[in-house]
Amino acid sequence: MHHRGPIRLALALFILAETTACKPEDGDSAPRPDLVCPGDPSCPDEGEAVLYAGAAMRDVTPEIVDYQSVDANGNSQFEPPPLGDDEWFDGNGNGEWDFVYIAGLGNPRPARDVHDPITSRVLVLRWKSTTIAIVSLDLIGYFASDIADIREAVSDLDIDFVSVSSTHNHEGPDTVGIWGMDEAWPGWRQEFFDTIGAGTEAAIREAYENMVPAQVTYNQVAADSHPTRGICNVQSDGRPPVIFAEDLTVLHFTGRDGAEAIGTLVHFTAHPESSDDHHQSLSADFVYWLRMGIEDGIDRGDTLMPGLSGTAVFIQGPVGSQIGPGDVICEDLDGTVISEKGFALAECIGWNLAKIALEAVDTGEGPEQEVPLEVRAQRIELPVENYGYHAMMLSNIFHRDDVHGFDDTRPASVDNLPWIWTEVSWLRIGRAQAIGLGGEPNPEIFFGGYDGSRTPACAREMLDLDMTTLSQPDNENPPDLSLAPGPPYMFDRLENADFPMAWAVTNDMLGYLIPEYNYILARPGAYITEAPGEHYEETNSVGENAWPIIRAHLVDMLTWRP
Amino acid sequence: MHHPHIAILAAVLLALAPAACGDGNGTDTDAATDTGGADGYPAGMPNIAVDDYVWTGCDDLPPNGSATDEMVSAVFVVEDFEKSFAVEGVQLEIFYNNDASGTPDLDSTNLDLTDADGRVTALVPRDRLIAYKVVGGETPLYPPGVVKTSIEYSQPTPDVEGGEIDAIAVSQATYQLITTVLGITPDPTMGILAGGFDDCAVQDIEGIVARLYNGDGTRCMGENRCLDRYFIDETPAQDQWWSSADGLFGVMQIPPADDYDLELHGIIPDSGCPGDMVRVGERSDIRIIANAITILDFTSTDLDGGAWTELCVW
Repeated sequence: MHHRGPIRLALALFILAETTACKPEDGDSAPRPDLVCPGDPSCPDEGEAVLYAGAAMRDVTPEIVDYQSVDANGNSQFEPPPLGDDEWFDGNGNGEWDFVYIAGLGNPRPARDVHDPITSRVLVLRWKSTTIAIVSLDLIGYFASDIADIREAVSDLDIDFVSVSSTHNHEGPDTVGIWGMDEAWPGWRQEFFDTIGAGTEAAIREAYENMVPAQVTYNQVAADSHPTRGICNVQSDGRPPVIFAEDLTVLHFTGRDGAEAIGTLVHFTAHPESSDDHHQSLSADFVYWLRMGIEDGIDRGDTLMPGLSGTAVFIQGPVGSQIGPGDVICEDLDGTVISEKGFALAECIGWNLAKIALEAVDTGEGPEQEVPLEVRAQRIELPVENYGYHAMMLSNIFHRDDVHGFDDTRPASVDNLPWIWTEVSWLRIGRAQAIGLGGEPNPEIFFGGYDGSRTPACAREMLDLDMTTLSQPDNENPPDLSLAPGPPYMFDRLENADFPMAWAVTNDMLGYLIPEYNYILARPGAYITEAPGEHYEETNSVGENAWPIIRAHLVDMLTWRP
Repeated sequence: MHHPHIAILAAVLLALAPAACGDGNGTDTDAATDTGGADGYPAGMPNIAVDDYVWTGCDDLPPNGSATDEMVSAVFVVEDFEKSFAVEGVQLEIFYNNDASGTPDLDSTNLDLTDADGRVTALVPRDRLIAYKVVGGETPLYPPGVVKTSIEYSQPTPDVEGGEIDAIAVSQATYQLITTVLGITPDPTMGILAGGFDDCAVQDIEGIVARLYNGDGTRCMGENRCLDRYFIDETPAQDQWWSSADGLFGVMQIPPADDYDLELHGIIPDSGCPGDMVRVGERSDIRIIANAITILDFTSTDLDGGAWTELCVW
């Protein structure tokens, strides 16, 4: 299809916005974000200059009513007759497969049991008249339209912004829809959203009610403390350019006297898929052990560390380029070396990160009580160019109801694209700042690293990387780093951010967000087949213009000045 | 996010039909998907690589059947179009004369539903081409896995007692998926035509475009009408404007009628035809039913040494 007008227009608009926003001195010309706190009428810059914090957690595991009772070929996927010889248990006797399909890897993978609960975890913070709720769900993602339901449910509370992140868990219920029986039958059931919504509402209300005067201890460390493997003990990068996101960030909140534990926000980057898809158990993957270690402490091998109590809240980082367990060989705290995916690997990564997190809190900066809060949020429209996504939308496989701008009496095309709403946000929590966006961005978007400075030695050696492309030598289509953008990167645009964070899969689920210099589509076959080299992520992205549009809005939001 | 592949159309476009050598009606003055090429053909359309294909020497295909032919007992084996599993409970109608527009020779009054193995036995003309229609049923797999109405032309019947005839059933899910992957909201008042094109060695042919004509010889086209679409690796592709290496084509959003003609066109260098545009396949009197799919496969036109100029589009 050769009608490229709208695309050119979008790019032109983006370029215009970017050109404008790149000039910090021009920040006054950026549009005011939809939400600005303090500053909006609902959140004037007045009131008690005291940090209040509360935390809560709910188990939101969907009830497993029906399940696969026989896995005849042991592949953890459901293949009933005539496809296979698998059998199922009809728990409610209605003759229908009311499964809890597990999202993220192979499908259909209906859950048989619960390894560890799927949770909704909440921190509510207040400074003066600004109140924010930070929600983390053990899910693959949660669409903006579903997040709107959560926000509506707590709209009676004096909360200015409810930020809802998913951990991008690949071992939880399918709240997106594409991991059901096949591409034509969604993996979600309304009961998921009822349970998750009710539990999250309850957790927000409890955290809100429990807010007490508080203080925070910060730290940000590279999770590379393993003596030989470094960061490769817990993280790998599956797509070139190989650029890691090594930082683990902690914000530990206690009561003002330090005695009362409230909660710990822990931020790290890795796909929670370490336990893989050779099981049918719901789990939060490595995040489960990470949070358990932070809350309850560690007694494993020679490691004995007390926990911090309170509620640990994990927020996912920029996992875009397959940051995760791919090539990880993990030495557990008891000395066991795990090289295969499975729950042992998830546990290994989780315990190791918990230890790093506890040490980070122990050596952190604080406690500090001067913790001003700021929040900005901007609702934006994105064209959905991926026609695989069109199919999922037109078939109601995706559980989102905000598709608009599309004449459904005509075929989707560049002249007739569906659009969706998403949101970008920025939070300041004292000396920490977080950019929130609803997809899986590549880490280099935030801090560069094209010069190899973010490519650890362990990865260079393990992958035998060509450092001119940060790619393996046999890559037939390596990234052309001469085209990669220079600074300022997103973190460079944050002012006085001692602890910068990129919160991925936050307030929406958009798939991958890839810098345009390395966004390569198969032609023809865009979005259906992969371009040569390592370009799977493009097939699971909203479209080639998504990141440029999001970036333009982010730059506007970060450079806007009252 | 790891995305399951949208594997759509299994290679179950079945038997090979002869490409009727028609009179080349229709005037190609425009295209429903005008992408800028000459005379409405897509820009950048490749030549058909003649040397790579076997254009002559196809096995002789039998003629269309008739009720007066010698009969043979045959077993229809019905499989799912996408996943190839046996489909139980399907009702077939059989058209001996390979024309699905008239009254079926066999229907529910004298044909059982397919059994658990997707099989049903019927008397059919021996060694002939017939058409069949799937008129109902429910797959055992996906509740509510409704089987769509479908027609397939030119299925060869066996020459021996008890021989098998391959047949397919298309689920509602597959039907919907084909359309939506192509960015088309399924329209229950319109039908779909789909098929494949290969050479005498059963090698799928790349570089053909499908053109559908109304019974009066005019091109079926218009706003959101008779949209020709193609596939890549058997998956519908919105940016593929001629058959890829899988040889598959489809025409979407077709108003119901009994008398469509389908032509397959391609560029054959040095053919002697104007613009080297050759009509490499054609079939007349195609029935399109609303909310249903018609399946029509072609082999290459067996020239038997004839000149391409006999098949020029213009």
